[in-house]
Amino acid sequence: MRIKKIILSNYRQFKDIEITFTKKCKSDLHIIIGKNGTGKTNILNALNWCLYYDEPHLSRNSQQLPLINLQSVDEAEDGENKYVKVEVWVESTENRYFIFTRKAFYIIYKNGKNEKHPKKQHTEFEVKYTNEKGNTNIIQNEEADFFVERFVPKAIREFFFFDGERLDNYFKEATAERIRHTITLISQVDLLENKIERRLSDILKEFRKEAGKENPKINDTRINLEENENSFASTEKQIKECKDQIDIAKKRIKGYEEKLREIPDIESLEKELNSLKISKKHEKETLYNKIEEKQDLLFEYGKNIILWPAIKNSIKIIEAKRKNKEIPPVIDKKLIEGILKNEVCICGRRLDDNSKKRVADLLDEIKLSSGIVIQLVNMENPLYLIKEGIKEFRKKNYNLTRDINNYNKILEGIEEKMNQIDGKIINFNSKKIKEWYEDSKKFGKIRDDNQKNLGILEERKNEFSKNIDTLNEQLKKEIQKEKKIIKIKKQIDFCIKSLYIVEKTKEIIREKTRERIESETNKIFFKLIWKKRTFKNIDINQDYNINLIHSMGYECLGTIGAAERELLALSFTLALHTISGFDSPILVDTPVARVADEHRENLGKIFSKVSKNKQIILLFTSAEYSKEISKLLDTENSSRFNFKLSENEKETRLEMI
Amino acid sequence: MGDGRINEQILNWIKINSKDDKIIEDFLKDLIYEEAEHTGQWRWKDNYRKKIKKCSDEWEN
Repeated sequence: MRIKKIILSNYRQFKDIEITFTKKCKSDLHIIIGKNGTGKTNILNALNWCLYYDEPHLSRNSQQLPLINLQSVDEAEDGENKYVKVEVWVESTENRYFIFTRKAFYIIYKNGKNEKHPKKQHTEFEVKYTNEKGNTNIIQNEEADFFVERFVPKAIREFFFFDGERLDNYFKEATAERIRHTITLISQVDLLENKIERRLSDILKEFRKEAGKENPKINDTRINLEENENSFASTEKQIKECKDQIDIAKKRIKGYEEKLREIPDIESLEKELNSLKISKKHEKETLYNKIEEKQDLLFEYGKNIILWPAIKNSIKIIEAKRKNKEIPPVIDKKLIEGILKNEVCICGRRLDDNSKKRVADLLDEIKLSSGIVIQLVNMENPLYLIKEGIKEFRKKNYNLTRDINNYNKILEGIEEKMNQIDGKIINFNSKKIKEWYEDSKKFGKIRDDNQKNLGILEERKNEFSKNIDTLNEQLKKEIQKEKKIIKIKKQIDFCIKSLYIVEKTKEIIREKTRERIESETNKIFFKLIWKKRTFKNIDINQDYNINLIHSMGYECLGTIGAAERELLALSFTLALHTISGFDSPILVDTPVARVADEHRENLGKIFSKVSKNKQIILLFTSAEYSKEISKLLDTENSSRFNFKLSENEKETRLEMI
Repeated sequence: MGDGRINEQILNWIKINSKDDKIIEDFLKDLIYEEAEHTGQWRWKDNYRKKIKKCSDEWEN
């Protein structure tokens, strides 16, 4: 089955539009691109309005506007009749057509301010179809709904007409009951359950009542039996509600567990951060002490350091003097100068010229005065002490500088660790995480309370069941004894056996359908998924909970990305299509809205692949239809349209690209 | 579109579960076809009662 065309007249932004989806290549893929507000999503709404008479994807803006196109209201005369029409042309594989048409009639009135207002009159729905002989038939209203149910049943339409923006929550919100319901519908078990079983039970009750009229004892037992049956049914209902609560609580707990699994152990990280803060304080104090120590050292040795070049030079001079044996002094220079001046030797003898020359030469040799030499000798030891002190300073300074550098490095390391922890924590609001823990506990309590309650209810149900068996047996015997009601007795037995067969068949079919959907979903998902090794399998368990199992063995549905979730939804849908035989098209609004850029291409490829066997209609926003998507799908589609809003913003026009 | 067809599996399992009780098997299959044809309101009660009366008459318990 495929949608051949959609015709919209006066439907919301669309005054008069016909979108024909002709298959021109191998891919039955059709693309509609439109900026926000052009009415893209209203194509999805139009389809729903035509087939199911509701608009589940209406934006807040559109909700405030009438269904009828504003431009056409503007153009209408006072009192003029107008109608909104949506036609969906469906084409079967045998080239038979089904044309679904819904019309809503309006009268346009002018008020005192000359403003025009549409007043809705009535709605009509019909399906026009060609039968096997090629004759055209028209069926209206309720009977036409029957054909809709055969195209895409209302209860499972969301598996055919998607809203990409909601896909993110698709299976998060899907409770087991929803999947069970879907399976019931597509396997047609609902026909057994809600029609045949219910009706046979009603008739059985009537037969028993008739039998009771013949014998008060039978009637008493029947009343007792019915009371027990009612109590049994009400207990079953309570059990179902209880199980739903457990299911919801379990899902929520699992959701929190998945969220918490992704985040680091905030508590221990916070502890580590606090201990690092303490270390940082301690190391900083030590560093400051060392710096202070160094400053003291510099202060202590400051003068000597400044004078160190002079001191060093002085030591050098003294050492040189010593080497030249000028130090210590051997002859007093002043004494020699006196001898030379007086020309008399210390022994009293007068100096001759020769002696004078020798004394003058000696004076030349003695350059330093003995006073200076004494001074130098006196300086020598303190200078050496200073030299030793400088050596000590160097050593101490070296050690202190090394320590300071080390402490700086330690502090840098602490700082880096603290930054890393901050980086880990910053993405997670610790308050929120605490809330998650608390909420998880709350749901744990709900689960436990309901599980206790479930035990009590199951016990009660068993009691009612036993009572019912006993009363059935009793009623059977009593009816058996009553000769007048042989016929009714036979009818009752016939109903009971029929009901037993229906019940048994129902359970088998439901289980087989569950198994088939599970297997088909697995087959499709693993054929299409780009991550071949990340996931192990998809599990739809006995309680109809769907789960994606990671290759490491844990359930990971809550933590997968939007693209994977969309693919899972698509695989589940395609499996439903295969199993149900509803070979209907798939329409997805904003198909990559929630998908990260790197996976958009993957999803684009998948849509292209699926469209080889099934009609796919994709409604993109201009931003969504990125270069990458365009490169991929421009050559793969059968048709591509563009929506443009008119200047007065009251009408959207269609352009074929 | 199912074209009003019934899930073959249902018919098969009705047959299996009815064992050799052909009357009940046919009766249930008949109801299934009838229900598949009627989606809206219909006078099911009379129809059901008539069928039950007729089939139970022929039926050997």
